[in-house]
Amino acid sequence: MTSPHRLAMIPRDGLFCKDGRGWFTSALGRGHGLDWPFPSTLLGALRTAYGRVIEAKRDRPLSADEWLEHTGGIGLGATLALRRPLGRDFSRADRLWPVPADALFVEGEEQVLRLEPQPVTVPTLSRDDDRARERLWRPTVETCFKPRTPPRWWGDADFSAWLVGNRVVDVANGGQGAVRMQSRLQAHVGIVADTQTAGEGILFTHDVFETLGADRCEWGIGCEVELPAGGATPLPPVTLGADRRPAQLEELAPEVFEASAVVMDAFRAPGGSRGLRLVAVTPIVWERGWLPDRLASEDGNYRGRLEPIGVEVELRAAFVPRPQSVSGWDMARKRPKPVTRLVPPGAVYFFERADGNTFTADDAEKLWLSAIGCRVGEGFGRVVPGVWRGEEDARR
Amino acid sequence: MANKLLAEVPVTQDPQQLVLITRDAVFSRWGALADQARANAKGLLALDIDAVWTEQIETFVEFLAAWVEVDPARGGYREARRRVEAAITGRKNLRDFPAWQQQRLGAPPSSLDGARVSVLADPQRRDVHLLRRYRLAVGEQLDAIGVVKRCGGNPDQFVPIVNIAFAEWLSRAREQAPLLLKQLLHACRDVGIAQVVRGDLPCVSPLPFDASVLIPSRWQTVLYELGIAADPQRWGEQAVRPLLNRLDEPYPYVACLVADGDRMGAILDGMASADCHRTISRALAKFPQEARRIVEQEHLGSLVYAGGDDVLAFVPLPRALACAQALKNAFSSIMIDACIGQSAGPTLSIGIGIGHIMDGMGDLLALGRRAERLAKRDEAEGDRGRDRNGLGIVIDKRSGGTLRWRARWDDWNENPVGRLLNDAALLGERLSTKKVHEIGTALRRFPDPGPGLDGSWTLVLLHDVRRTIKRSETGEAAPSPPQLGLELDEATEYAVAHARIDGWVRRMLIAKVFAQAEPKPDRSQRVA
Repeated sequence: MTSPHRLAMIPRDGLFCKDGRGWFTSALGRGHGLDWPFPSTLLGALRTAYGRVIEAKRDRPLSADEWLEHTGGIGLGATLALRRPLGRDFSRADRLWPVPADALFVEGEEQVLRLEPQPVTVPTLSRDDDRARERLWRPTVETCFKPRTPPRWWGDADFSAWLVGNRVVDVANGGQGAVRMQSRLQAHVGIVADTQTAGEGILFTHDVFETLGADRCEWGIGCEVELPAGGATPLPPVTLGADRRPAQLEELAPEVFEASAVVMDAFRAPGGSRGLRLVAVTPIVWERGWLPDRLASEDGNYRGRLEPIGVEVELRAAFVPRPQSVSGWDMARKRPKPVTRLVPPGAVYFFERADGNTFTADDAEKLWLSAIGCRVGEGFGRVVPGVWRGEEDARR
Repeated sequence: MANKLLAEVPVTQDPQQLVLITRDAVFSRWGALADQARANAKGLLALDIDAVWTEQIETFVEFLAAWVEVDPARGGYREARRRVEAAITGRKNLRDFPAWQQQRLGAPPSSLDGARVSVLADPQRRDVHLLRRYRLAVGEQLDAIGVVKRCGGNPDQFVPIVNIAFAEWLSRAREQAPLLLKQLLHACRDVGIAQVVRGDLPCVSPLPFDASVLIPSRWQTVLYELGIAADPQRWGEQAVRPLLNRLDEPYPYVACLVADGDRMGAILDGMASADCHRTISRALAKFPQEARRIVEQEHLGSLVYAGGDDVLAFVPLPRALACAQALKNAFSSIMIDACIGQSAGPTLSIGIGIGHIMDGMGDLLALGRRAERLAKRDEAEGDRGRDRNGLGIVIDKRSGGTLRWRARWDDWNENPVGRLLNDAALLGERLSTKKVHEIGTALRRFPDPGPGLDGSWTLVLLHDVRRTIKRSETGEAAPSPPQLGLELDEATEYAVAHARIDGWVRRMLIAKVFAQAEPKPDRSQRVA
């Protein structure tokens, strides 16, 4: 038996969640940090905090098997990036979302351009022969545009507007300034005892992402967590990432995870939505890499069941950036975990219903922060829906 | 070689068939290279890697092709090229990666990027001879791609970054202390320091061994990693210290230079025929050869990549500015010849990222790319028609902080390099770095520009700066602000004056790094 909790982790001393690169020589001594932790890192932090409470109660350390037994039932659901002015409770308006891959930022353009998938008119061929993949719709991208690196995050209002097909101002080109987490390099110096001077060989540095900004705003990580019922709650502050930086826990109001009203209204509009735009908001693990599970190639199209709503769909387009890789350390078995390739947050999949019907507000409600793919109990695979008008949008 | 091929195919040739043949050839060649590397690295590899190796090698190369008919009724070559480029660009929105099916349970990921599982044996089971040959650090992990890169060729052909960083210093050492340098060379050979076999590169010729030996704090690591039994401290004191005593230790920073042509896409889009395109391509093909000569033969650097209008190179810091200027001049000259009939040829933006020699190559490359983006456009400047045709410099100091400065090639009387070199000279002679820091500190105490700050703030700020500059510790007349390249006009808005002084401080601090990097004269001459 488990009980649901909605918590915000509020890092008190910045974030250093190391990426996959090693500290493999004494010469380099440089650790690279991710600008946002993987969900599995958050789950690890929660399990560790939970286990520590049990250890404190029993006044002895848990064995590896006991750790698994006592903390194995902890599950992580949806996770969110949050950012609020100091001294205020988190609300829906404080949510931040990964910028979707169908948003194109162009030098000199005040508006963010929308990449609309269109039926293929020019044949392509890739690494292997997969007709269905090469028939997926693609955007027409004019080469005269000079794309810019997109920002990492969008605020809730911009993201919701994008999901319903409205225009969004490019904050760097014409708006008030993009939301960005400041990073810095933290140096660690070792002192050589004999000479009382800094030892070059024991100098190392790593990234730290600061979660408290000069603009008096702080970042938080919203988590839906399943904890064993009647177990060790409330949890003490957790330690997060590669050098166990402390993060305070705070209860979150349920509304923080609720669906955007703007998006739901768009699906409620007469006729619903002809197509569905599904945006990854956490990394997704599919069994076959970029291709959603349960889809199979039929007559040159990918077709299959979209689980959260249980309907037969056809995949029309997929905008998927290069994969992220996650490994980590298996604390119980004391060995590295296997490397897994993830669809990065911001990836966008475009679907149409196989029966030609539209997607409804009910579908959208079910899809909002729903879990798809593998390792969903670790917080991977969370998506949100957006409207898409299929060929109608393509023609526009 | 180019990673993008554009071919005009006769109507008798089926383009899809041609693509399939090309794809087979690419994968076949890649497979052969991988097989060779695997054979070279046999004593380093784990035994259970067949499936993992095959999967990693087979999924590594990204291949994408598109083809359209060149139809005179549909815009001919120009439209056909536009459509094929648009198809490729659109298709790239889907990176169709497979999931890993093969794993080695319990094996760590590659140390370089963590993207694939390592194929190396446990550290204690690796062939010691091969470890040294391929300079694998203790505990380092490589995936199949890493093995191909590391073990695919002769390891002695790779020039360590530190050799490039110290090339100017070594060149001076050869002139000023030839006997001490020769003594070091013999000592390296005798003890078995890793050789660098690149007789074609001037940066290597003074010391064809790993130049890390010039850093005392690295003596122990270098000898340990090579399995050399000699006492590192004793060896270093005897072999290296006399040279360091004579010339001072070399400055441990290196420049990663990244250059990219401006608005090349627009120029290529304007090509009405394949012949025009070929003319430009031929001209562009000349530039990489010229870039190699400029970087390697004239400025003691090492070219990593040059293709079309792109250049990526590492150069010693004292030569970086001159190298950038020479590349810019060469590109302009070649492109003006190729673009006859156009009002002006394309320009070249160049970024110089400067980092510590102990930083990873990936970090140095990231610095270079950051500098290149700065060269193209300074986000802080906003859209004021000053984008591109720029020189951007980003310095990541190990002791903390990042410095950045940008100028357009047509700033400073079309000589921003001259301005910076002049600043570097001033800092050694007529202006103390302390004053620059003082002005920087004072500036931080002034309010940030914003609404409600009138011109009286400009007056206070300018008086403060003038007073600091004028103050003379030596009794000699202090240089005037114009001599220092600092424009102080009391009629300017506070925000402009603030930005101008801030830019000047950043420029002077960057000039200071170039001044510090310049090898010092022989100590014996300094005493005399």
